[in-house]
Amino acid sequence: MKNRLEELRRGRGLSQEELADALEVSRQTIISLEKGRYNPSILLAFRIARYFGTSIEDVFIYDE
Amino acid sequence: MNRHKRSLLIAGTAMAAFGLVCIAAWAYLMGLVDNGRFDGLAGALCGLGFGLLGGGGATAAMALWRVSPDRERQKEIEQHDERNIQVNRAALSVTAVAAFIVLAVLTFIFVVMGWFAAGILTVAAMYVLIAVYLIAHRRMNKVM
Repeated sequence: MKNRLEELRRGRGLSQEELADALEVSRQTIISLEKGRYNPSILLAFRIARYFGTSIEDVFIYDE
Repeated sequence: MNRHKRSLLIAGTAMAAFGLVCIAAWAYLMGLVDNGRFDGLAGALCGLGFGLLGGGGATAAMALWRVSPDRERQKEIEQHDERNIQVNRAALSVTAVAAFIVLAVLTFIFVVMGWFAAGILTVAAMYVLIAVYLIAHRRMNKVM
């Protein structure tokens, strides 16, 4: 699933490690998320959206 | 001490204690029986006992090993990281299939070599794996 995670992260001037720390996930998870190799659980997706102060649909792009 | 470390300490101590029991049983058998009838069992008890003692000690030591709070927090995060959990589960699935195939191949080898008892044991082990899978599947179906 495509997402804007990297764009949002860079917009806040955060490193992958800092974002991983803030979300309490491993850095490898952030890397996989940004590359679109891993789809997060709904809980993690909510936490990411809440962290950036936006909605899930603004972070993750659902391709039909 | 957090819950995970406490579990490690308990598990390690239990393993080491059971190892000591096996070693004691080995020593008893070696002292008691002279005709060599229980040599196989004694040998197995010796290996198992010392293995459990060493493994149990190492497990308990892991629980007592002091790490920095940052490293502790990182370990905690990595343990509960959803992607890591999924990766572990996927790897375990592959391992289970591989174990099943290895047992099947071993059964074939044992039968070809004429070791029918060993072949029956490996077939029994395969049935145990199937039973475990069916029970686990049923349980997961109810829980999830």
